Amino acid sequence: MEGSKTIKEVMTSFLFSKNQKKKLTAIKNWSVTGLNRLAVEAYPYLVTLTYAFLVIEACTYIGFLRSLIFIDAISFATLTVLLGIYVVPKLPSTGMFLQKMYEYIFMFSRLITPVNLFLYFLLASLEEKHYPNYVFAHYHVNYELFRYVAFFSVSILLLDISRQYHKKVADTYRSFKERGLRLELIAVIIIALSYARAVIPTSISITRTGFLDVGFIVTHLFLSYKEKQLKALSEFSYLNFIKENTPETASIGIPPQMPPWLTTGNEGYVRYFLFPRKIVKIPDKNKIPEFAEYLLIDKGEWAVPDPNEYGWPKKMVKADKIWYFDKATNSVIESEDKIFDPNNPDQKLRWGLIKVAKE
Amino acid sequence: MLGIFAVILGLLAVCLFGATMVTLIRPNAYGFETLALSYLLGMGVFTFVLFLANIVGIKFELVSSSLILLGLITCGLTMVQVFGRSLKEIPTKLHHEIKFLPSCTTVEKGLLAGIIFVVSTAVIISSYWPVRDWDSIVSYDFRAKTFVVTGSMETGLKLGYFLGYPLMTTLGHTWVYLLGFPYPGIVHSLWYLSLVILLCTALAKRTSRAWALGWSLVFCFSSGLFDHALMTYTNLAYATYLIAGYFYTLEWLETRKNDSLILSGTLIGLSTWARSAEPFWLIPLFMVLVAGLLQKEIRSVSIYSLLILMIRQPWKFFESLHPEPTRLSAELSKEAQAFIEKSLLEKVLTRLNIPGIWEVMVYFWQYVISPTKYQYIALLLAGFITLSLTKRKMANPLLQYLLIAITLNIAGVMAGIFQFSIFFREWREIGGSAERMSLFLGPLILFFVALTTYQLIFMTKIRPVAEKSKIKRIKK
Repeated sequence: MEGSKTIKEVMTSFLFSKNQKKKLTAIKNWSVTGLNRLAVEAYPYLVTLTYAFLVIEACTYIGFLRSLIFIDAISFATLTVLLGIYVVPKLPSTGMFLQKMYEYIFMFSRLITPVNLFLYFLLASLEEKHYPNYVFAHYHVNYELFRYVAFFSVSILLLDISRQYHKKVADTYRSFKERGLRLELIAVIIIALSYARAVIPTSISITRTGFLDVGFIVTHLFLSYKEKQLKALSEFSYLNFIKENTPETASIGIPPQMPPWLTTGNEGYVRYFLFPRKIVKIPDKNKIPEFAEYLLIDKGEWAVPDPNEYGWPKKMVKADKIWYFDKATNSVIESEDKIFDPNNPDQKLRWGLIKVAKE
Repeated sequence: MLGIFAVILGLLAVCLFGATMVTLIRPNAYGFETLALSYLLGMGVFTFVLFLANIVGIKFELVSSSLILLGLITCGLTMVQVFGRSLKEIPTKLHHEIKFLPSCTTVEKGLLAGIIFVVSTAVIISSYWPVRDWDSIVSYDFRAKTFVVTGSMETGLKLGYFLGYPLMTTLGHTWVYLLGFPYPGIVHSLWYLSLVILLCTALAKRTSRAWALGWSLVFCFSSGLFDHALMTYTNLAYATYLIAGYFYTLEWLETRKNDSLILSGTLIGLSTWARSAEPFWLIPLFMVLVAGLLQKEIRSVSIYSLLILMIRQPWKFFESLHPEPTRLSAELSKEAQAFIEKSLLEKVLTRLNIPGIWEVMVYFWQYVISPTKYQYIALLLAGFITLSLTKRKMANPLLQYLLIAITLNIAGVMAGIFQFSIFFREWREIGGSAERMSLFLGPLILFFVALTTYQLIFMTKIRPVAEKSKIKRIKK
């Protein structure tokens, strides 16, 4: 269509800022000399080298580069960024033209930063979804080190942005200096760094939560309430089994709240699922609550060093009925046993329910 | 599916009731500010009325609760008519504010998108999962379930471990359950949304739009309240009402307008309806007391105190009528029994010594300061900037009030921990509790830092809160 821009024109205007649209010419009146000039001219090559180092270390292991050049990639990247803060203000000011290499590294950082950030989120999500070291095992990329590739490209992008607002920043500094507020300016910079230090990791964590958790919700929109409870709540399947096999007027004896029954022995936790049933317990694990119509057969869900500690009740109980519950398959077996014997290994280490025989 | 529609309708009705209150108190509030305040006031007052109604025998049932809400809405609308106000201004204000969105810069749009992303993540997640947080299962949500099943507080009181926390969050859950929606977390995420809106509005009134959006996004990512928006504890609700109350306390200190005073008093009072053990409501009361007495504004001080106590005292009185059953001696160890039998003086003297105070300070550092060191560093530096600006006679008094408020609150947290260490033998074991208790400090510090740095960087005094609304009122 007449008048519309070609893709090349759009990309050119996006990738090159206003200052760079004019033809490149030699820098005749640039006042920077000596070591400063060397630093400015070498910096683009240093940035390129840093990218290479970070990628190499992300594909090998932490310390690979240190074994070769006595400095690790992360420290090298940190020095490059700090040097950039020193070098960028010395670049030719607005109205003059940058060397081609600076154009290329800033253009590259604008393109690669969103890609790096996306890749980092993707790798972190894959690692979280599967198991530790999954990403390295499958793609030979250490995703925690890849984070530094993303951070480095963000840092170069920020240097690019600060370069474009350099005049404004310099004017602000001058105005602070003239008013004798240099200390206050340093305070503001430290405040910004403090919040940045806190915000960056939590923003990544919250963004991951947003994508992962909401992604899960979108793909599991029609899970039932019970299915969600099974996923979200500890011991829900077992307590739900108890609820489904006892009347609402029942009184249920539970073990004391101590290892290994820290969850199923917690009266407050258990009553949430079993209300309005009455919960009965006493602090001595070797005794049985007196007025309980039902008793949990509770192996214990928390680890203890002595395997003999598992299993409750610890006393023989005469039963009208005994049910066993298989946590792995959520299945219930109504047993023909009429006695629960804690010394019977077939009974002791199981999950289930006893309807206590009335005497 | 029906539950989703019912809960949306039910929460909108709560907001409608809240909107009548906001229109009566502050008819010239901004659109989004009105929305946020509508939810806060609506949910707070509605749950309080449900509690009072249950005491006189009205059960927690869908029909009776709906009728109560309808009654409140009717009263509210009637009062709005009597005072010549109109709720129709609210959609107009909102439309006016939304119209400005296309004129936002790219950066502002990006910041807004970030805020919307975080808040909507909280709302979606909390509306999906059932209650899964320990304290809520054991207490807050369990009470709601007993209310829904039995219709009254009687059963819960007999079971014990029932009082200790007021009923705002529990009755919020109850209302959601009565509407047939099994995920009461939505109530908490809406508290979070309201706080974000009020923080952004409070900053935008005094600084610039971009500055307000930027710091609101920082708040979303740094305050620790995002995690609480996904949980069903009482700490988020408490922090929201307390912080919102502070915003209007500070406004009153600047402008001395009655609407700010009434809003502040109501919100601070409602914070005690979320959690009553913490004494932080005393600090804004103290500030209003001092400022009011200095200016001989006895009426303002009286109104403020009355608003807070009218909400706080009924629960305290109810609590005193129903002491928790004491644990059986057989359940307690010898040391625990010996501790309980000590006199108050013995307990105080055990802790009021250098090792005792040092222990409290170490605990304070470990559980209050250390987890969020960055915000206390920022606070110290912002405090330095404020003092420097004060010396040069450039500081807005608001900054000074804020600094005083935050300092008093931090001292209050330390005093609270010390008091806790006197009365509870296992005080050291609940570090998370201290961290949650001081959750409200983060947003207050952020608000202070945002205002201070704005004044310093842009070399301009913070704008005083506008006395007249920029939104034109609809003429009848």
